[in-house]
Amino acid sequence: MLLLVVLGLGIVLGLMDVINLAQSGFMAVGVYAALAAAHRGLEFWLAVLIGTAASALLGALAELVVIRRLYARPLDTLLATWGISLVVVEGIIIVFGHGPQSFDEPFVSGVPMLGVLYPAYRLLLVAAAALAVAVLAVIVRFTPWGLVARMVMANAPLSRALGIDTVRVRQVTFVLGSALAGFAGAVLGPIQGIDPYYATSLVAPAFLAVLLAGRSLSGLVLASAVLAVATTVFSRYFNPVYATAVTVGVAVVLLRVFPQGLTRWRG
Amino acid sequence: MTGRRADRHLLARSTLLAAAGVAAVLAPLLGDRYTVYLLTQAFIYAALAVSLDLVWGYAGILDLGHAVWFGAGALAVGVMTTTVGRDGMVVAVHGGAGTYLVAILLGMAAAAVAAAVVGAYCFSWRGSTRFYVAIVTLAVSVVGEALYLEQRWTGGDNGLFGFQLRQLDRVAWYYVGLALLGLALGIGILLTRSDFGLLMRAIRDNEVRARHLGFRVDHLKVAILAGGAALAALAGGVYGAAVGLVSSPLFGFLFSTQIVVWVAIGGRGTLLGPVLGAIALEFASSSLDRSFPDQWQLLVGLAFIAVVVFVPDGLLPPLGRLLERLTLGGEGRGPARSLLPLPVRGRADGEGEVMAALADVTFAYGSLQVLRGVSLEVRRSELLCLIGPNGAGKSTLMALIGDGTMRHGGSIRFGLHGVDTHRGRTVDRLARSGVIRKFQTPSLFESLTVAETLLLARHRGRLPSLWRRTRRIEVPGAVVELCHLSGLDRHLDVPAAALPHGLQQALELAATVAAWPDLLLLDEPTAGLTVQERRVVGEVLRRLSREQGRTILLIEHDLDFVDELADRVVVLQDGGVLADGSTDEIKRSERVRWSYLGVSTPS
Repeated sequence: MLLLVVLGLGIVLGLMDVINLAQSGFMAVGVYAALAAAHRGLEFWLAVLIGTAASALLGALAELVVIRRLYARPLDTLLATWGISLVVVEGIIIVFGHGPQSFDEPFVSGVPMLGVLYPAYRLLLVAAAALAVAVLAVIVRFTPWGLVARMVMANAPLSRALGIDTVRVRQVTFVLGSALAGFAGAVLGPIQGIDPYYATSLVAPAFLAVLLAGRSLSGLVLASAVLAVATTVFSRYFNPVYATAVTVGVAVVLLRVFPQGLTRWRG
Repeated sequence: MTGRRADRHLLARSTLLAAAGVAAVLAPLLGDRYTVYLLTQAFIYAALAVSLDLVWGYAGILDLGHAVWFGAGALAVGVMTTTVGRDGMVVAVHGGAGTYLVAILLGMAAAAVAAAVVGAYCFSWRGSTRFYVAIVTLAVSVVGEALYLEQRWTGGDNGLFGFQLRQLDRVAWYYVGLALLGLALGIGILLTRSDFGLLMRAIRDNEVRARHLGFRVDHLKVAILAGGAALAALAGGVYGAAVGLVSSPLFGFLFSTQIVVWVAIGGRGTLLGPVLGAIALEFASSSLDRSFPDQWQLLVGLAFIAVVVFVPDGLLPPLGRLLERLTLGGEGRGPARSLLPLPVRGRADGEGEVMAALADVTFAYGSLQVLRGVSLEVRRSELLCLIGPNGAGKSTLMALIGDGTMRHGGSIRFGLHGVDTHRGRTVDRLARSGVIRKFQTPSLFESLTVAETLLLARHRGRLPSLWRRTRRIEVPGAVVELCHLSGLDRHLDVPAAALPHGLQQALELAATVAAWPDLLLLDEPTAGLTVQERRVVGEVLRRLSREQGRTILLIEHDLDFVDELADRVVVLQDGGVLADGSTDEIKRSERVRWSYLGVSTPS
């Protein structure tokens, strides 16, 4: 589950050196847009699509108005994206009100797995996350766009000198990241409580996972797996609140041991 | 600024401040009870903003968990004055004024210790970046809030409440808040205007340079963070005593970012900006929150983004400039600090002693072997030139001599006071013992002026005064001479970032000389200088070594320059010593001519 959240954040950070604290805002937009669509009687998946599109649109706007001006100032980006999330949250409150909302799971059946009944929807989420990773991996590895993106990531000035529109690449990346956030927000809606501060609790762990991951997809998967397992194990055997603390602690320590990310520990 | 103009400026400023002070003192007579209460709270928050501004605005440590320290102060008061029942609710409040005072002090101590631990953890690590501190403090905030909810002694979900000190009424609390703000501002102003304030900005601008001038940057950052935390906890303690409420959001990430917003919008590194930012935003949001709660927050968010994007320095600096233009006109500033030559010391004893002895030094970047067994000696008060083609390892060798923590083979020994071995000695430790390095490209403190840079360099790692503001800077005669000949003395009050390249080179050189090192490591000090400037630099360097006993190791490409200057030349090629001798010997050497000058036989 964390993986889905982390993905969008990961490509944005990895490709653009932008630390996006607004990711939770984009997730909230995704889920609220999907919710609004669902209330108008649309199919669940169509609603998810609309949620994704809405946050992509917002991402494009944010990039155009704010992020683009800050590429050279990463610390300021961190602050600005936090400002964006503030605005988004307040915007949602104005439109939808403070109260919690709920989003029905599209299907409630369970699948027996290893002797326990596991909700089918959660399985589907796992599959969706895996699919998203796979698609992204293919794009980054094998398509020309992926190559260009990796070039910009490695050396932006040189890429610009070679005639690549780095601004455009960054824009596409940011929008893609926002879209992923919206998608994650929308599909996670049914299994989470929805309120305007939706997903803010996920941002800190997701953020840490991204830093842990370094700049590779496999790192992302590994890092979110490590953190997710740490959280689950702890909330299972100890107190769920301590689990948050422990997860964050684990991430902070790991980050110090592997400053370049888990997959580059040799360097 | 010239004396009279400075006086007028100061007068204008003091008048403004005094007016604000009088207004603040009289306010409770005019406002209603609720307004007085809001202002009290705003003042406490403003003091909190000052503490973050010192840490973030001046020393450059982005503390995203600043709320935790504030919360700790409030919690200390809460815990010591309440009794919590089995269900986690407050059942009794006790304690007199003395208990409150002790609680506040304990809270400050706890916050300072906790912040010092966090800081020591973050800063002791070599690969630590600015982001790492931000992330760890953010994590502290998240964890702090989560843990708070789980403890019975903190009141858990409900928090602790009802423990305000009742001996004081609202108006009295108003004055306590005002006094707190005055105290915080006073400390802030004293500290940032002192010599130590320069050091804080120096660390923010260029940690590496600060280290190379001998300052214990890590310790200082820990101390600054801890001090900021203590001040924040003081504000928190007063808040606790005044409002009588502490709960988990006080520790949380949201409140932390709120403080960051005050400081950023007001103007980080201005002290007054964050104060105004906190008071204005807090007061406005409390009054407007009731009528338009959501729209108001939206507006704050938008304003915050706009400030970050368009006026990253915050609102106060541009407003201040506007005011200044209105009151003073746009005239330039004269020197506020001046240089004073120190009496020249005689030649140091022990000429010809070995200052640094390198034996079979090897070094590699990963698999790239840069130095393959370099052996050479540098003797006291000699000027040794290091030449060699690009990639020969000259700069690496120099970096290695100045930093004992780089992993290398072979041995380096010094003949300095206090240090003989090199291994394991940090850059700042070596710098304090008298090994100072000038980088190839100018490395300076961008916001510090020429005079301020020289002042800090003079300290060479000694702690500058926390309150005194030095105006006459005593520097070695050679520095005065360098400044005069290069023209730096006409720019004593210009920030380093605003100097042209040649003067930046000259300033870094002057700063390294001002530190009065026994062993001066100069990496192409004349790169990018005109012929005239080179001659000046050469003249000063020669006198430094011949007349004042400084030992200089110099990397240089210009062979004519070397010829004029050097007592001895070492030619480095491919990570090894190709030749070592007087300039004449080097010039006559076949191997050098062949490999370095590209000539095979003397013509």
